Parts: sequence; C-alpha cells; structure tokens
Amino acid sequence: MYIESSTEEAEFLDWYKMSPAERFVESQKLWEVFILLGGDYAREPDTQSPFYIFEI
Amino acid sequence: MPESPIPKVLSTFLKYKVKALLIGGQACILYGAAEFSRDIDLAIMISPENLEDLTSALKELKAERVFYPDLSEDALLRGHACHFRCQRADIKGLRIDIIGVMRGVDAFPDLWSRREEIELPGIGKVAVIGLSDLVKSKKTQRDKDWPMIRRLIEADIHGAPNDPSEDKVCFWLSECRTPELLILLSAKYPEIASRISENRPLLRSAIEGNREKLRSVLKEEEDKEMEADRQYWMPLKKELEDWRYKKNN
Repeated sequence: MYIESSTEEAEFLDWYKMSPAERFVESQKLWEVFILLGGDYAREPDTQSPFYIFEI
Repeated sequence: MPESPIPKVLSTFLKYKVKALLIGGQACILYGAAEFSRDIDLAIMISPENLEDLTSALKELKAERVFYPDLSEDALLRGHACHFRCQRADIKGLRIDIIGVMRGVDAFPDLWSRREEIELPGIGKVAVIGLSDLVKSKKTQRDKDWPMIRRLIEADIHGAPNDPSEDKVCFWLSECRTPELLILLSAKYPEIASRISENRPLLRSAIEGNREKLRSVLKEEEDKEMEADRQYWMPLKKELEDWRYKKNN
C-alpha cells in the first residue's frame, strides 16, 4: 500500500519490496561477508534474554 | 567462500519431517523486518513422534544441549525453551532454540493452521509462523524485539495492495507501533480506528493526530508487555536455577 509520508529510509523500502524468498537469499549473502570479516557462527550475548544468566 | 549455516539446518529439519515453525529472527527476515540473524528459533509440535524426529535432526547436526532443561515433552509443555549449539564442523557454534509454548501466543495447532509455507531456494517449502502470531511472539522483555514489531508491520503495510481488506486494516491498527503510520491509518480508516480504539485506547491519540502523546502511550504499552513477560519467565527461571543448583551440588 502506498504511504506518501512514511518514515522509512530508502534501504528499508527496497527490502520491503522483495519477496520472502528474495530476502532469504540476500540474507544468506550477508553471512559470507560476516564470516570474511571475522565473524563466526556463535551468536552474540543477549543480556536481556531470560536465559542469559544460565549461559555465562 | 564461507557459507551460511541456515539452509543446512532447515534442510535437515525438512529431511526428518520435524513439525516445526520458523519463528524469531529468521522469520523476521522473511517478513521484511530484519536483514540478518545468527541463530535459528523454532516452535515445535509437542508430541512423542515429533520429538523423536527432532532428536534425529539434532543428532545429524551434532547439536548439543547448551544448558537446562533437557529436551522433553514436560519441559516444553511448561513453557521452557531447549537450547542447542551445533558441533558439526560446517556449522560449528550455530545456536538452535526450540520452544513449544509462547507467552501470549496460541497453542501450536492453531499456529500451524495459520502458518505460511515459503519455498526457499535450494531448501524446499519451509513452514513459517504467521505474521500476526510472530508479532505477538515478539512482545518480550527484550528491547531489541520492539523495533522488529514496528518493522514487521511497516513491511506488511508497504507490501499490501491499495485496497487492503478490513481484517488487514484491523490488524495494522491493533499492532502498528509507528506513530506516523497510526495517524495516517486512523485518518484513512476512521470508523475502523474508532472501533479498534475500544480495545487499544492509545488509538484515540492517533485519531486526534497527537504524535507526542501517541509516542508516550506506545512506550507505556511496550513497558506493560515487557513487565508481563518478565513476570511470565520468573517461575521458569526459578526452575532453571533449581536444576542448575542440583547439578552443581
């Protein structure tokens, strides 16, 4: 639905226009960059999670 | 070239026919609210057969329990989440969280009946929690979940046709967290906004076009839900603490 005075940034609007499968494919590409930049598969600590205290 | 571990996990769950719904960050990606998430959260059907299939899938992924509780019908039915970390070389470190019951969200059979099935390239048809249920599941004590709700609704509005159904407008007016959009929607659909305001009084500020007041009452609504979530988890955290204490003593 066209909303003239929306607050979203242009990059969000491009993301919104994709289909779910397209978003998934693009998201998987980000993994490649993430790993090349030194990231790993372990997720970051989530200090607000109810389980955080049990993970440390 | 390094690869995402996500397709490998989803393919394994499909291979073992685990009755599960993709929830959390990966579902937010599909619905347009997020670009990246480093783990996989799944809501599962709690039954002996499904837990057997789930165990087979986790075994293939070499997924080991991170902390309590053990994967069991009893723990899942009481609302606990079961947490795993993959040890298989190609996905080492990836977290998989399994839950069967979520606060403020219907039981799994209802969620399943409202699921979306999305064909993902190279994986197959993946069952994803419905948007309205995903929004409810994101009303947690974590700050980071609330911008997700906002973007889930914004993405849904932008992807909708110019003549959305009344049900869709009701959904947006009930769940939207963007003051500007709430004011626009209330102006465009005043009768529906007036009706929904009986259950969501903050819409009165949207109908009046009072942006500052609307921001303030949206924050109050958020704080109330965050506190309700903290209260919900309190006895469950106590149980986890008891389990941990018994293990260490």
